[in-house]
Amino acid sequence: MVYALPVRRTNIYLSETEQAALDARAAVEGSTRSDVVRAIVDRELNLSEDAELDAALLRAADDIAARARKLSRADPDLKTV
Amino acid sequence: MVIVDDHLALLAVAGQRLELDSPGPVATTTGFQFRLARAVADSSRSGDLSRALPDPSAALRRVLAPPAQRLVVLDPRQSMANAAEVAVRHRANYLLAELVGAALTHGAAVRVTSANLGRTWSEVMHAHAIDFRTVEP
Repeated sequence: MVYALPVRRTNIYLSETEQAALDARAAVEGSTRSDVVRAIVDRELNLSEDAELDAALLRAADDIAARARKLSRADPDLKTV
Repeated sequence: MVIVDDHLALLAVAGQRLELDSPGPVATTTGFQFRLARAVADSSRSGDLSRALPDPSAALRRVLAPPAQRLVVLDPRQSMANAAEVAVRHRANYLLAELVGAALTHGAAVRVTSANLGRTWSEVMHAHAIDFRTVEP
């Protein structure tokens, strides 16, 4: 197996039901239990990368923060008082 | 853990390394996440912002579901009891009560930008012995 990113062996405890569910998904997808766990972790923790989006957010950060303050001024629960 | 305001949270989401002088993961509250998401969702109404954010829907998705290694959005249910107590004791609004409640529940430090510093915040944080400081982005 060749991975796109470096991976490290990790031992975790799973119930028989969890292992059976992972194995069923892996069998359907033609992958492995590890592949299924990694995909679930990536999806749950939002690990996809987007350098262009990061750069755009950094460029706009001051303006977005100012907008957030402006919109919150009329909001008693969310303004800074 | 260190809990940050919406401005610092956005920088964390975008991958900027922040000098927060506190160890552990960077987190924010749902109140600050909402302020941030609303500003991004509203970006098309602002000329400067719409030019800076060519794909606002992707930016909004990123803010709503940030990479967990960069920013964790705290579940308000965990700190609701502390938040309610803070709201009653200090007459704090939801933003401040959730922030202080989360800091107490998680034993976290709090860092905000000076532009977001409410006039009572330092006093309230001090009353609860929270490690609190302003940080310039």
